[in-house]
Amino acid sequence: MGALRKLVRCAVPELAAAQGMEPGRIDDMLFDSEITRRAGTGTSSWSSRCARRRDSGPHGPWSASSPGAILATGQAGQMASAHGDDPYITWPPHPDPEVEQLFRQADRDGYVIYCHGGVYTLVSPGATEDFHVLGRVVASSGIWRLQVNDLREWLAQTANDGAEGEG
Amino acid sequence: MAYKISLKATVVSGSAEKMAESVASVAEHLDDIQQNTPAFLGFTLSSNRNERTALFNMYVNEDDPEKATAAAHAWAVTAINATGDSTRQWATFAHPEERERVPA
Repeated sequence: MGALRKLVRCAVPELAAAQGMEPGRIDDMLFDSEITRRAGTGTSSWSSRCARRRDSGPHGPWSASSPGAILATGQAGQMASAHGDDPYITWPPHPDPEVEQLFRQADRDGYVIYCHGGVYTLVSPGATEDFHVLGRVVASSGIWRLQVNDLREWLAQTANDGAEGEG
Repeated sequence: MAYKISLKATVVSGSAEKMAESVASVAEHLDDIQQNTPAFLGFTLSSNRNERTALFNMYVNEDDPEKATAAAHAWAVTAINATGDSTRQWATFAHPEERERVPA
């Protein structure tokens, strides 16, 4: 199991249990902490954009750092659940229901999914941990369906790669 | 009219973790470019650690396929350079893997 997956799957509930609080509370604490502010200055405008979205967006808690910053600073708590019904789901709901369904299935299949600033990233299961970044939705454009097709193709491809690796 | 331009880049050096960070950073910058460029309709970016490659699928609102390809390439290179890795870390190919006309 890779480092990022370990952080996402294990650290959030363990940190929450250690602190005797819900994961979302840890997210709030880390978001406002000094270490988070330091990391934020290292990721240009990304954290400030996330901060604004976190305050004003419809989807609640929000991850503020890049995966590199999270790995470097141990801020796994920031990837706490954005879905109240499932403490292991680490991404805010995607605005496209079809894509959200794809994410949920991918999550069940062992993919790691996270979001910063409206851009969602999936990490494939297995040793390779390939990435797929899905750019933001442009609602007025038919291009979005093509981006979703790209995602479907990548999921199918990486699922096949994983099956071959296991075989 | 729009085009889907697929560009493949090779990540020349660095560890697997470094490659993952670099791909994430490039995606971040691509998102910034998209938000400030009306002709940049969308993108997906996939990495393959075994091949040490990254595949850019870029959707460009442009009538001329050559201009669409040039724009997609320029955005990819801009995003790569903006990560600070420079072209010493990444090798992009000027010719697309695929160029496809798509409905805008």
